[in-house]
Amino acid sequence: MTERDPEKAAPATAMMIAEVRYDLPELLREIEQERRDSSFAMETLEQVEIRKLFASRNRRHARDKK
Amino acid sequence: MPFTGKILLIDDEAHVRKFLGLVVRGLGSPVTLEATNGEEALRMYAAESPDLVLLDVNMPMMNGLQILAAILQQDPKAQVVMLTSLANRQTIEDCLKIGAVGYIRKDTPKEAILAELTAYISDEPKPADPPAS
Repeated sequence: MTERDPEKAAPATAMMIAEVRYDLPELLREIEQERRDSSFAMETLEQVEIRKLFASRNRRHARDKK
Repeated sequence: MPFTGKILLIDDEAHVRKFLGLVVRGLGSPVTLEATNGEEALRMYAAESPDLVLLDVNMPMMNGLQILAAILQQDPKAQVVMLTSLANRQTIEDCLKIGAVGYIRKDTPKEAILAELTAYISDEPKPADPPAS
């Protein structure tokens, strides 16, 4: 049995790693996040929620003016 | 006290402007101004300095967000309420970021629209209010 020289094996490993552009679980996480973000952006808000959004902004503005 | 200020209604659809005209009459006796597009709206805003603007989002040429930004550039204290059938978070947050004071869905019942508008009008600083320290 011949022992592999780690020095010689390194370039091959490095090349292999360089070729792996994406980690699958990470890619899936990104896709899931993108889906969530886009559905979040397209989510339809009820008037009550819209009022809350604006009320909190208007309160912040009123506070900043003081 | 009935509201007697000026309200500028900006919508490309005549029936919507007519409906809004009827709604705002519930505030008192406002002077109602109407514009059908961005260019007209900006000209009218500069000439009349309305107390409140009701602005649609979906319009030809300049859309509501562009008009909102242009009005606020003219007058950073402008009170602009978006009144639109679009109710997605992205559009709402964009309007919020640009500086709209409110956002009302067009499918909101007339009485509720009136209640919202009443709140915007009563939130306006009155000339007699003491200056903030």
